[in-house]
Amino acid sequence: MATVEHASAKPAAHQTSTGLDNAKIAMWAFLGSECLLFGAMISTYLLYRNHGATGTPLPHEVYDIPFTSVSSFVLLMSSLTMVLALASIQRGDHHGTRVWLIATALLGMTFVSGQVYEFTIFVREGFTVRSSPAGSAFFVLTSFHGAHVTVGILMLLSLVSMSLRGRLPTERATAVEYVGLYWHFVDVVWIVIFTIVYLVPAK
Amino acid sequence: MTFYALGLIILGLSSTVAAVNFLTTIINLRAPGMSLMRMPVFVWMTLVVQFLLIFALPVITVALFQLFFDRTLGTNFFSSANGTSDPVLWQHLFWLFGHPEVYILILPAMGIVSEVLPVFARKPLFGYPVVVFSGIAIGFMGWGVWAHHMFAVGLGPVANTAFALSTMFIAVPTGVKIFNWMATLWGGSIRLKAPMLFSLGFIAMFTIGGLSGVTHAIVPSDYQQTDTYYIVAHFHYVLFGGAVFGLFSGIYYWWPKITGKLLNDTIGKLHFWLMIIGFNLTFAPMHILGLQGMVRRTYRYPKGYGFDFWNMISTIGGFTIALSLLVFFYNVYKTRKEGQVAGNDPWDARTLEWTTTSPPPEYNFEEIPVVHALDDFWHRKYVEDKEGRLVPVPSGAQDPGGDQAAHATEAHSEGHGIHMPSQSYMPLLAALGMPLIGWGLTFHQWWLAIVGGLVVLSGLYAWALEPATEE
Amino acid sequence: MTTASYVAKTGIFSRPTAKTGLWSWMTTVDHKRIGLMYGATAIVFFVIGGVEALFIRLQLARPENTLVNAHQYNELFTMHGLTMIFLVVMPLGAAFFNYMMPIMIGARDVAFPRLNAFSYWVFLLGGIFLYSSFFIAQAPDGGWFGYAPLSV
Repeated sequence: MATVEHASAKPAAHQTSTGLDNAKIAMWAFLGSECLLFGAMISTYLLYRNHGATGTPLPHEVYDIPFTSVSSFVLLMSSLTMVLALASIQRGDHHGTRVWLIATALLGMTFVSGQVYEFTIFVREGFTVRSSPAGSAFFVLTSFHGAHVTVGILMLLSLVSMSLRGRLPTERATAVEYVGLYWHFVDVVWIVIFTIVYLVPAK
Repeated sequence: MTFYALGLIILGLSSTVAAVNFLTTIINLRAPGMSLMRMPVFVWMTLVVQFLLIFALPVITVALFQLFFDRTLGTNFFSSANGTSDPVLWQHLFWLFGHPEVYILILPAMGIVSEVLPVFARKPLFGYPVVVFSGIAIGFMGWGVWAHHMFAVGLGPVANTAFALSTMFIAVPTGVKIFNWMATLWGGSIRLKAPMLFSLGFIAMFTIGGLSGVTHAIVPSDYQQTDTYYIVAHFHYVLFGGAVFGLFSGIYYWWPKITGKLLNDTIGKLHFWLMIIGFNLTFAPMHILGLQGMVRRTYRYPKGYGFDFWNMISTIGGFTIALSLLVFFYNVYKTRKEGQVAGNDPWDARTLEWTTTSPPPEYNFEEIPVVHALDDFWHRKYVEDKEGRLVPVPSGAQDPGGDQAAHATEAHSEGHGIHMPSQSYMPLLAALGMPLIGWGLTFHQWWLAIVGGLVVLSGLYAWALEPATEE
Repeated sequence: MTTASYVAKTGIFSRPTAKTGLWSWMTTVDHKRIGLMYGATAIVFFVIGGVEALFIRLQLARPENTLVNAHQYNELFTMHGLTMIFLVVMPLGAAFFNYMMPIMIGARDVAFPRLNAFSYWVFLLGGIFLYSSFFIAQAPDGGWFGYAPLSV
């Protein structure tokens, strides 16, 4: 869904009943639905975390917590750069906006690459999306999250492209704000996943 | 069943996106003076439904993806070679969606009834804040009852008891609404036009369906009822007798506003009576059949069980419903040209849509109204004298900005500085990719799925980049 | 003004301007037109779902009837349920939300008109996708509730 670029932005004088932008309310509503999306997948994982299959490893036998911790830190830092990007555009520093948006996208790409690398290790060790209910739950959950990060990266790069073409003036800082909202949400979901899936010990 | 999984994912996307849209509209685009507690009940029920959609659809979406992956990729969510997956997970996820879904189905109809009854009783809705609050309560409580669809699965006595209690509790706000509707009618000046008949039918039929629902809430009773036609009777009473009757009430009520012509009321009454008789002939016997032990979801039943008679009655009822629909379609056809012209306010109604022309202009209102009270339009038309009788206000029907009929034919949006959003190809283009993705994934034609994905993406990008207006 | 007038003011991204004719409906973003489309489509699916119900009732009118076999019956009641819930009652609700709600709150349209149109087209195409199963493969036959593991 294209929730970022609003070439047909409403005139700034448009009064709304709450004083908030329509797009902001829509983004929050969308993020509310995403909470339930990830909630259902996390619940599935919680049910299946110990449902293995003979001959295949359980999740906790293959996790590399230090590696994933570094990945998580990278994603966390991307939220910081996102905030810096928003601050830049709000004070009219367009070069800075692009720098921080690209930094956010790069950190996001690093995270996704780390995930993909981890997955190849797991598959090599016999923990796959098909190997057991635990495997199915883990890979679908983390892949959906990775897909969300990827969509976020595409939105960030779109903002950079718009800024380079002069189509992202300070008046449209809200576009950066709403992409930021989405990005922070995806990061928070990762914090929850990392805690519940990786850190909470198996029985 | 891959069509099932992917089809419902696609339909779920449609409803989720619409829900975000309607929710934002109700929260943010109300006319000046229209606080939340001055909104019509139909709008309140719409708002609750959008919240339910936003939170319930993702849960079934997850279940459907998991089902799709099980079928296509060999994952182990619901079935596995070595048996460590749990098929009951499907039921939990499905009914976590499925129960809020039934409130999604019924609340709009309840909202419609809450609009129609006051107009055709010429009395305000009794207990507006309580009706609103009950709708909100149903929205919240609906999340806590899902496993009443799973009493026979073997969840254990603790779980069964908890859900039995929550299910009995949720009957309370529903009952509160019914009492408020009855109180609205009490002492009113009742006009038995077609919209009113359907709303009254709703109250009667939905109450019956609700009562059978309460009997399911008691676990030992449900052990006998579940998977029998008694359940089929229950949900058809609430869904057909409830939702469908309520929706037809809305169709007859708002038809003149939408088309500018009234449906023929006599034919409408014939439709109603045929439909309610046919409906009861079809579904009432199912209570008996169910308690006699007729199993549901099976293509035939054996001779010698005594099910024959009521099944035949039920079939006759089904065809009676079909006949009633033919009557409705005839009404639509007949009044296309010859129907009575409606005017702005044919029912002497209470809410803002009746202040504008029938049908409304593209921009809906000449001037956005300023709202001073609940049922603002009604209070502009009538005041009450010392004995509480209605006294028409001489120029009340012409509200400020209300010479709608006079201006409508001359007005152009441009001339009045009203900018309406421009048309666009892109929503259609983006949507076209969805079935392509679906067919591609179903038949493992990955190229087709990718083509579909590209169609969607290009539609979305073009959507974002197209100019704002061509005025 | 006749049908389409595709004025290429800004290249391939020009907005359509037809006010009458088929294209005006296919490119509309007016909540009233979208509401009408939701309503008309829902009524068509109501008839289809009703025909499915009539087949069910014909099969069950007599014991041990042979009008349809078990598999066809499963497809019938599955599609009847899916149709009535997802293609009739929900879209009829959407028809009223679309047409009446903005007027009832004194608005000129919904918050996101193009998104509104997108919702309708995805609904229509989703319904077409679901029903295409009858023609190109098998219709869903696991009930509208799709219980696993039968549905897997």
